[in-house]
Amino acid sequence: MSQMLKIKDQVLGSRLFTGTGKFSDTETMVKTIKASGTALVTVALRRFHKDSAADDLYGPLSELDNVHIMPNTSGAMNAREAVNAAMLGRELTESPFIKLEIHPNPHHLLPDAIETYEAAKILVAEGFWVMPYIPADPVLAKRLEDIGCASVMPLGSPIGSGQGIEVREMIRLIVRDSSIPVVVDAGIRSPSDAAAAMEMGVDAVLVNSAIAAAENPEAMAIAFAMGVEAGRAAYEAGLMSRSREAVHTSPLTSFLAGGSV
Amino acid sequence: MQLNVNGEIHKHQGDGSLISLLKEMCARPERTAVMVNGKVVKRVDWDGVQLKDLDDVDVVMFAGGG
Repeated sequence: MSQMLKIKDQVLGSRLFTGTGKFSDTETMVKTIKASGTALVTVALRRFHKDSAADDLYGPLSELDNVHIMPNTSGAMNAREAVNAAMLGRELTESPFIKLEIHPNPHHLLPDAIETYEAAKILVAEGFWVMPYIPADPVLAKRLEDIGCASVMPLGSPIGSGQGIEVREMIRLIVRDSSIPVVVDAGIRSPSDAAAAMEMGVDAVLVNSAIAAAENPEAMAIAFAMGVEAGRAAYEAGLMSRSREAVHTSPLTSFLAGGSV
Repeated sequence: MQLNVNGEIHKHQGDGSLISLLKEMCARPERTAVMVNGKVVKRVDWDGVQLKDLDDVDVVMFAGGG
């Protein structure tokens, strides 16, 4: 049994966080979230229109037991918009969790570190548990920890790209220096990507596209849950050290050579 | 009364209260969050909100996202 993950005061029963985007329909989304065993799910905000009321996820999400809902600030172009989005999200969830994301460039969706930092300061003061989506920058991660963020969520590679973990060494440095949970968010494509992140000592992973866009999202959610479990268990078990050269596992005594047969 | 609701012109026929606007939009109050003129209005304060001509109102709901 692996150690439990705690974010601020909240113990979470799974180290796999999932999103709610890109699912073909709401029923598949609900089944998939349940299959994943996740305890934390992200959701976006969208302008209400009566013709799109069927897309409202409030009802389906409130039926999930033991799952915390974390609104994101997607669509915010700057700190001010992100703070407003967070406040709107909290009105719906009545929960302090907020995924702070500010990515003004639609081509790469990379986070704006400066606006994110400014928004985080305000939201922490407002009592939010701020979980910022950030570039894999160890200095920024530490600064966000210092101002009271609940976690940091460095990207593995661009959102929805499925490029896996392209910034492995930077994430390793963040994990080494961080006293708050580190969550790899974005870019993960396969359960082995998730396992690799967990083996590095990351505290959790957030996976949306890789599950929702799979041929069978429910089955993929289960595969991811296993990958995350395996990776965490391996981290806690302590991986062997690497060697540049072979190190034999069997005796090399030349008992076959030169002896009489 | 003319309002700017979610970025579009909206001819409001009700009594100008926030609650009547939400009703007019067929929005379920418990599933929406509201901002008036760029400021989030907490649910507990909705009852007292009286809108004015040309106010900007944003009404949002949950949607899928990562």
